[in-house]
Amino acid sequence: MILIVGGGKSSEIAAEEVIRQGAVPLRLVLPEETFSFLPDVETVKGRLLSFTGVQGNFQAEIEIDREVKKFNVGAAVIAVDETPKVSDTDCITLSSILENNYLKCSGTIVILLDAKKPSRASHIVAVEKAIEIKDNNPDCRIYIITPEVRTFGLDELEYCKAQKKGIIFIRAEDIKHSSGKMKVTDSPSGKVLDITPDLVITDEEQEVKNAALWAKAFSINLYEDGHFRLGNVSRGPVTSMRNGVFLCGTASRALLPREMDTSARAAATRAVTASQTPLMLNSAEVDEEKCASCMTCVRVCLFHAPSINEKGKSEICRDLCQSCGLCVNLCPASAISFKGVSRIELRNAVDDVLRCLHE
Amino acid sequence: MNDCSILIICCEKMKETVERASLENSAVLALPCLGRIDEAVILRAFRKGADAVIVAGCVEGNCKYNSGNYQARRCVNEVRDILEEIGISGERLEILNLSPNQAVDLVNLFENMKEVVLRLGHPDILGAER
Ligand code: SF4
Ligand code: SF4
Repeated sequence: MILIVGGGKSSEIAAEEVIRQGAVPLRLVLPEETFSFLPDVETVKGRLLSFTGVQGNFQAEIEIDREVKKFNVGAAVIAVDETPKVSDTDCITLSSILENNYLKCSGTIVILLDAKKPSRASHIVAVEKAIEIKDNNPDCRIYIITPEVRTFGLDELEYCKAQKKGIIFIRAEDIKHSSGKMKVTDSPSGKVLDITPDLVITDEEQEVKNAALWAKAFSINLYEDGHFRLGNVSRGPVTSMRNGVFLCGTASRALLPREMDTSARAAATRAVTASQTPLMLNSAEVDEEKCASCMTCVRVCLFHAPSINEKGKSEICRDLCQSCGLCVNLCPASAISFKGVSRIELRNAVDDVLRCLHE
Repeated sequence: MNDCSILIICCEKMKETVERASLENSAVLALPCLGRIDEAVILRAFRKGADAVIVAGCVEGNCKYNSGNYQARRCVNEVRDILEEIGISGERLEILNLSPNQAVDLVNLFENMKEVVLRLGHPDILGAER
């Protein structure tokens, strides 16, 4: 069984892909979250209390209607998509015009694209919508104001088309907007333009909701910007830093819709493969006698494996330790060891290889 | 002097690359991750008669465990200071960020290291076993 977390688009694609690959998906959404119904996929509403075990053999404890249920899962896919942050201004946002088809506009329309963490598709959507509005009403003036137009690949053609249709792009960083008037400094020329818009459409900041909550439950990390932290390159794409937990869609970074598709399917595929290849890793161990409770290991381990137990000593969680050896090296009390590369063994290994060389 | 001996310390991931380069007069020690390397390991190698040590880890930001290669760099810098302190040239210790398909970097560094050893001779360590 593959645990898929999240109720958005990428969770649907991932679930479908998991079924296509012959495994069973279990979708988990938070009780307050909205989600789309999928007939073949078991979806539970609940909270993840703990996620223990190793790749191929995880145990998930989920609280469903105040009842704790246990599930055995082989791997997990985190498919928590970005959602627009609720904005505090009463501006019309890009996503709302997508929903309401705001096409009968007239006069001067300004599309302002300067959100700090926009969705990756926002510029493309803006350009396409602008063309649509212009087609419906050629008399209106449309400005798209942004520090940089980010249309990618073939979408550059849409950008070109928009310019030919007379949509005006202003590249500006300095934008002042007050009581129906805008003062915009065009960056290339330095000229200040005055615009009196009849309608302002803005793009909104995106956020990954409840990311911290999920990250804690899965013992994985977040980036500073609130996305889930991807595993390093050598772990391959769509991984997290924990073996058997994969990230897809916009959970880890802003993506275009079609990229989301690909990443959701990739994550599902990797999860199915991972669930069939259980991983047993060696784990570092603490000698409680020697431990000085200095917390060095707790701080340096990226995998959240060491913690201080009730005896006040460090204890390394076998499931989380990936036996990298960092804490073994850094422990000031030499209290941590692990099989194969303890201090003595390492010393002997050095001696051995050099003896072989000199013989 | 033909009997120079150089120890290459690398992580599991680089082991294959390093071994495939099959460098003469070298010994390879593979650790699970370079995060495990500590000062004692490198110093022990000199004590046991290595003329030079090359630490070969992965490209920065590419460590499977995130910080192994940074840790190794810190450690190498530290050991270099210790070596200088006890009168051994710090040139004898080098760290390399290797990518698996660029064994040539390693070979180049190895050749340089050999020259260094030829120039400096065996390190003068009291009681070193050779
Ligand atoms: S680093 Fe060593 S001494 Fe410090 S808490 Fe961890 S095990 Fe104990
Ligand atoms: S060996 Fe590595 S993964 Fe295991 S507890 Fe120590 S630092 Fe964490």
